[in-house]
Amino acid sequence: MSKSIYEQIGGAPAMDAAVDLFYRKVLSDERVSGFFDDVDMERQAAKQKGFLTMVTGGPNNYTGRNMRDAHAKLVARGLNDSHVDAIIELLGQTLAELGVGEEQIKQVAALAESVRDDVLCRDAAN
Amino acid sequence: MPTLRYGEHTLNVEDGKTVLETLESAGIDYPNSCRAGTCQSCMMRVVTGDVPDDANRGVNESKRELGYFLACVCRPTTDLEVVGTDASTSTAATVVGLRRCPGDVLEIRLRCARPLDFRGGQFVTLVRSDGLARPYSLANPTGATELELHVRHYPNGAMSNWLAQATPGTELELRGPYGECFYVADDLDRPLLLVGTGTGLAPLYAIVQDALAAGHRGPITLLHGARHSAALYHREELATLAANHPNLEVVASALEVEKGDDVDNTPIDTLALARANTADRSNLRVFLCGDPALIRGLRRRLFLAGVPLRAIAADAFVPAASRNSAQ
Ligand SMILES: Cc1cc2nc3c(=O)[nH]c(=O)nc-3n(C[C@H](O)[C@H](O)[C@H](O)COP(=O)(O)OP(=O)(O)OC[C@H]3O[C@@H](n4cnc5c(N)ncnc54)[C@H](O)[C@@H]3O)c2cc1C
Ligand code: HEM
Repeated sequence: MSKSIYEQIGGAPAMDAAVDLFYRKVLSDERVSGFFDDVDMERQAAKQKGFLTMVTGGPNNYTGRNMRDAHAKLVARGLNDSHVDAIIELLGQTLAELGVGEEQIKQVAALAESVRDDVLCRDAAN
Repeated sequence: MPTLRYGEHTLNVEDGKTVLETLESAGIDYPNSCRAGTCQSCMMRVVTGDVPDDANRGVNESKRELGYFLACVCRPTTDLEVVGTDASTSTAATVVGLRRCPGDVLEIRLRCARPLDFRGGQFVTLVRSDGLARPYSLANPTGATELELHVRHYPNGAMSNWLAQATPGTELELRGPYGECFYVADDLDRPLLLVGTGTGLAPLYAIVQDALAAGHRGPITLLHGARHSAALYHREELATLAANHPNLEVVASALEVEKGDDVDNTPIDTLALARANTADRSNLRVFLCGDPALIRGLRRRLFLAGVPLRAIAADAFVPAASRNSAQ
């Protein structure tokens, strides 16, 4: 079996640098920065690490249920499809900077897509 | 089979089981989320024994020094005694000295009934006999037997005004230590940037002394700011340290400067960003202490400027009333 993208970008030891890259992007992007403006930046970074680990196929046990719980408060604050699009875009930029190829970025985006309904706390396909 | 001690429980760790699983099979709930060593929800601290290397991967250097690890990926190979991250110890302490410094700062010396295992720059919570409690940072280097606090005296401040009237012999309870603002000797050549306003100097004073005692060779910059230059305290002590250590630069900054005083009137956050921009940002270690708004803004700007998030330690001196909503 081919290596996961998580392993390709360096696995656990490389995750902190990846999180810093991604977190800088979301904080600098007005479309989504409001959702990430946590006083406790370290706690927020740990969550973003969970996000990056999950979508790159690293070790995790997240379930759709977890995704709903993690984002329910954000949905109440107006989280919608446009924000998910923006996050997938910033995710792609981050991976490109880490040297991940276009084809694989598409795979990651597809994985993120697959939980869109859970993240937005709605029933599938409506 | 290794044993796991947690509170009053002593549990046998079955082959290949994690600390989290072991607790759960005994019916003990502990916070967790990803169960894969990522989200850090299940952080614990080891009190005795050694955790395997991969149990604290991703945990920052300061926490690692304090024995923090992730229960969901920790498969013990030896006996362990662990506690939750909210576990704290308490000891009685007596005031043994008081000195008034410029800027309405009280330098308070305490002696503990039981030696306190702390790192210079961590903070403790002082508890008065009626229960009034406030956190204060430790200004003395690691290992000192007397504790040194720098307390800004607010005339209408419940704790600081009471402390201002303390005398040798006054008794207190002390809880802690807490926090991650302390020196870690992981790389003696990395640049250090320490930024503090007012009594935010207290932890930084300890950190600088620990770094110098460890033989730190990289450049150390300490920026101390106050609204008015007359409120900058400990200037002589800092000047002496800098004179004896060529790799230490101390810069005083104030928005209003007394005539003839050698103090920079550039805002301290501007100075800090300029220093960070000329340093090796990827290897820089930053400590920020004092005014909450300044600390938060600066942490964010330094991070966006390229300093890794985990390389920035910060203690915002959040006042008591707003602490719950702000932190
Ligand atoms: C992690 C941490 C570490 C800390 N370390 C230190 C330290 O080393 N040295 C130190 O001096 N303090 C430190 N503090 C702040 C300290 O805990 C108290 O908040 C402070 O001493 C005020 O307590 P008080 O009981 O005297 O005043 P309170 O009774 O809590 O406040 C009463 C009044 O005092 C005035 N006041 C209080 N704080 C401020 C402020 N920041 N700015 C302007 N006016 C204020 C206000 O008028 C306020 O209404 C730290 C705080 C934290 C969270
Ligand atoms: C594209 C699909 C997405 C996936 C797969 C995803 C995944 C995750 C994961 C795994 C976590 C960590 C949960 C935990 O450990 O508790 C998380 C948290 C978080 N996500 Fe997402 N996410 C997605 C989209 C978004 C979007 C669009 C936003 C906002 C614009 C967002 C904002 C957040 C925030 C703010 C948190 C932290 C929540 C908290 O403070 O507890 N996410 N996400």
